[in-house]
Amino acid sequence: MIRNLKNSSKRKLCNVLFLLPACIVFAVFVLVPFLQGIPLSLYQWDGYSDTRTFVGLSNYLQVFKDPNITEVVGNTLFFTLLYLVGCNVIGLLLALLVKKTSKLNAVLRTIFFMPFVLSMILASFMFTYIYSDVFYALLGIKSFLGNVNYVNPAIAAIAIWKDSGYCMIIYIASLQMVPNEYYEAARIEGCSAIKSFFNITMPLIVPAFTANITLILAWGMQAFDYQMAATGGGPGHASETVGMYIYKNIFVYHNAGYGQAIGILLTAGLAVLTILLTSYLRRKEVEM
Amino acid sequence: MSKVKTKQIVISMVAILFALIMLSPFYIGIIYSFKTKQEITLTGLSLPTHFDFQNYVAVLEDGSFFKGMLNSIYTTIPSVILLMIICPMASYVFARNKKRIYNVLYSLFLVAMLIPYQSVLLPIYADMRDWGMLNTFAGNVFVKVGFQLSLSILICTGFVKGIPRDLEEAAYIDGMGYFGTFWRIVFPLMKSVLISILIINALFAWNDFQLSTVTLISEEVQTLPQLLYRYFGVHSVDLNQAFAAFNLAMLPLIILYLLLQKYITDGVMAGSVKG
Repeated sequence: MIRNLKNSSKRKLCNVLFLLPACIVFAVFVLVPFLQGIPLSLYQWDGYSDTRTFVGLSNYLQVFKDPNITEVVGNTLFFTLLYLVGCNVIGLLLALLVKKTSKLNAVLRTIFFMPFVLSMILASFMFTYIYSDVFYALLGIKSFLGNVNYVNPAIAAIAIWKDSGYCMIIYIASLQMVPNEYYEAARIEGCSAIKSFFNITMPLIVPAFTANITLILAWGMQAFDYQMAATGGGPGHASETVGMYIYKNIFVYHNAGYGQAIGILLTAGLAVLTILLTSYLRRKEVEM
Repeated sequence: MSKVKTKQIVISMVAILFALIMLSPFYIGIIYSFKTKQEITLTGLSLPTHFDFQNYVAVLEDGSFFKGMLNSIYTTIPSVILLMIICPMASYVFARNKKRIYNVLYSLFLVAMLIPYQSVLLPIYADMRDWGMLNTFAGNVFVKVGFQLSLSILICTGFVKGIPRDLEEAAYIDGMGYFGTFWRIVFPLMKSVLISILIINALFAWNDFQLSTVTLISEEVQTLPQLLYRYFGVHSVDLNQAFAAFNLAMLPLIILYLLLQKYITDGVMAGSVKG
């Protein structure tokens, strides 16, 4: 009994020791900065000098009066929508094409996922050259990145090229869990392939939708690298995202408190969107 | 039967077509990097008649590229190793203990995945400066590790939960302590998940731009994505040389990917099961 007690307290101590390294790094480099960010949004500050003025919520109020906000939020939402739909539709399509296990499909999956290993910066620069030089030489089209109307879809195309393979992997895993008997039964009942896709496949792979949609939503709402590399936010502000606008306010315009306030609003907005979408999709999940 | 076969052939053809589209940017990048400027205008997208390494030589002769690559290596390797040690340790505790406090802590790690980088750029920059860690590899490594902890712990915890406890209990009875049981029994069993988090974190650390932008500001310490950004954002580089630089920058990761692709897809799948 005493021995056991000694063991269990020793075990507890070991647990703490095992958790400590991860918790310390997490607390110091993630949690503390995140919490510090909240009061920083209440100050007027250039981001580097020692003086900062407490201004209460006025940074937040300014957001609603800022004429640029509508444009950057609009760009971000438009980009995110295209990116979200594109990645999921193409990712699911690719998954359906190569879900069966075969040598050829293994090679194809490797190819589909390959763009994901590139950095967003690298992928964007590759495409700026493809849009400007290759498309022009072959098709005589001027770069889409210089056109206000096409710039967001053109950047979304880069992101979709890079990340649909990621969505595909998650869809394949989910598709392979659907028992074959379900399709057999549907076929015997005279169900068409399309009908059985919508009535059997779709409801059973909702968890994969949840995973992919929330992930791409988060990546899209934080979009920064693609736009920085491909256009710098241009032409004009036509492709500037919320992420870039925050960065520019903090580090370029020296309006750090204001940029921080937008950052907090972005966090809140993303959290709300994610929770709403997740709870909506969770309700659609069915037991297998 | 033949109808099924035709259907499969059509599916494969469509898939191959998609694969060609996905590969085309790589194809363009490779052939252009081996051509001279005139050759590109003359021959367009056809294969180069001879392989001319001049573009690659030009990129490598410019010392800054090499420097950027070294900086990327110096910040990626420690991040990956650190994560491969501390995440399995934490995951072992989360997977083997049911007490509320552990659950709360675990949830905290998961919730942190929702934090957008933009909400912490300013505090991280200010802290790094105040703590004297700005422009140091250590600062960059710790920030990257911090933001990669959640996903790695999620993946590892799921894996440890799937390891039967019998072995550990046997080891315990044999007199192995807590540490011995973990390092000699559990840790080696985690080999496949360790390789998964290795490659996923290597991709993240190698490719990160945003966190590096605010932690590594002076040019000597900047990593490859930052170097590419600085270089191509300002200069207009001929596309044959640009593609040579892009190919060199992606080469290490493409190799790592082709060698360890099974583990990367396992990791992606494990990471997608939240909750």
